[in-house]
Amino acid sequence: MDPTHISPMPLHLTLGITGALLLLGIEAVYFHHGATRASAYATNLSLALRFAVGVTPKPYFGGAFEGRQCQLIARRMSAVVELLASYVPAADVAAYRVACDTWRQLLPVLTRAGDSSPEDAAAFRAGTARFVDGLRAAFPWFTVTPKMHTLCCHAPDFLDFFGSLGRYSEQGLEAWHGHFNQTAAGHPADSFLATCLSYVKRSAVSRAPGDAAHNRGAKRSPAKAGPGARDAKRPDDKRTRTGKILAGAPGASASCVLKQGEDRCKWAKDNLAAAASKIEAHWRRTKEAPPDTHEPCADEAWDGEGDYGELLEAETACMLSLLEE
Amino acid sequence: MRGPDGREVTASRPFEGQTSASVLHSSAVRDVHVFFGLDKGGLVSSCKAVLSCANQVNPTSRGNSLLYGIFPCQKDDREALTRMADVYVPKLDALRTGGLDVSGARRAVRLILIGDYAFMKSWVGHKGASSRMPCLWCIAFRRRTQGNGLLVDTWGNMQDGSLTRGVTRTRGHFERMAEAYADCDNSESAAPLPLEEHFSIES
Repeated sequence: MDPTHISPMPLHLTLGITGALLLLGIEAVYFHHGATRASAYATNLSLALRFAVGVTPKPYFGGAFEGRQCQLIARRMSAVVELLASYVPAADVAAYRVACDTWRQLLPVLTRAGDSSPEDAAAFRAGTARFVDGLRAAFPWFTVTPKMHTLCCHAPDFLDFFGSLGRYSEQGLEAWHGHFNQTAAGHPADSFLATCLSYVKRSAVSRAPGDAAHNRGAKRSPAKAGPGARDAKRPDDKRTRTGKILAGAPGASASCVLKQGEDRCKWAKDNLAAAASKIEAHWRRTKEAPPDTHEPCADEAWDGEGDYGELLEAETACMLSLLEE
Repeated sequence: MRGPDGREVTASRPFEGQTSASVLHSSAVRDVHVFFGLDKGGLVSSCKAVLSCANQVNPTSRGNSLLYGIFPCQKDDREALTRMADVYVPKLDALRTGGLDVSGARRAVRLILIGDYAFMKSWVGHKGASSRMPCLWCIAFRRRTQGNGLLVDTWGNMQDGSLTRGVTRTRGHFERMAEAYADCDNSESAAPLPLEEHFSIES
């Protein structure tokens, strides 16, 4: 196998680096203020991702976000940066904002299945270098992971050679798992092996419908509604799903809301533990003392639930009312 | 395919077959980009092997790829992945030597590996993402420590970001290691190769 013919895992880079960016924010708060505020930030971040961005972590992919969710996060990263700005010094926020902006520019090239122009490829190479080197310079505890290294040192070479990265993505490979979960029950057999055999035979003789089969022509895309069209500006706008739930409209089922809450808590807890481990190791390595316990001043009073406490209360109230019904 | 100057290489020559699967055909030969991957997942744990072709609209759509096989398995460790991958090697080699018929004309097959890191490192015999040469594409070290300064100076440091100057791996090195481990892995060998020779390709 020629090393130049090994795809640099565009999907796994998307998932891994988006998760690493979110984790970096928690690490920054832990570095400057210690565990208590980092815990509050992690909880607030999970709520911001739910209400301001509109994504919840999935129980699969190791409790991380799906590929499409990662693209949504990258587009709406400003909500995360705003939240971080109330926790860490301005210099760190500025560096974090630059990194998020760069990542937002890189992601379309990383996931595009069509050809990228040589100009796009050159911009991608420069952008990946700026992204990784910028993070390395701004955050002393930041380490370049193998995925970051692949992004800045090998993905640009692959893009130059083949003209596309997303075309060689592993998305189709992962999609077969979900399809098998859904349709394996339609292949009853005495053993799991026989079910697999039946499924493979059926797949071979009848190709699954492609995207074109699901395209019925007309689309209701708010982004294409035209100039002057009204768009939701606030999370509690009644045009958004959250706004509808807050206004009393039927939303997700109670069990679904409960599950999402559990997944969010697990995501926040896992990321806090990872951040703590990394920052403690950094302190040990540099023999640096952890910051003193931060006592909030009068002008920076904050509660445990943070800016999204009210939304959390509202969601809990909705859930309880659904349970009562 | 693009050349070093960024321009697309025009493929006009016909494919006439090749004797060895490991030899890369010229960029001027008309070819088809076929990618192969193996991944573990699903509610009932199983590995799926998938083949797809890049020369089509929406190449990563599930509907445009072929399910090549399913292996019930509980772990996707190196041993299991290697056993599964071995099933497909003869067929993939035949594909590369014989090519494919496209509209009555024979085209070469350019095989591209996709999947997660665990599968790809097993495929090329890489030991794994350790601190010593964690990268599949180059031989840079993960970070400088108190004991590896000289090695990092020689082979590069991943923490240098975009300035990492790890030496790129080559197909020739993979082939030499495959020959060296024809009988047994490096760890089982009576005279194991040092890091300077295997560069973390140890099986």
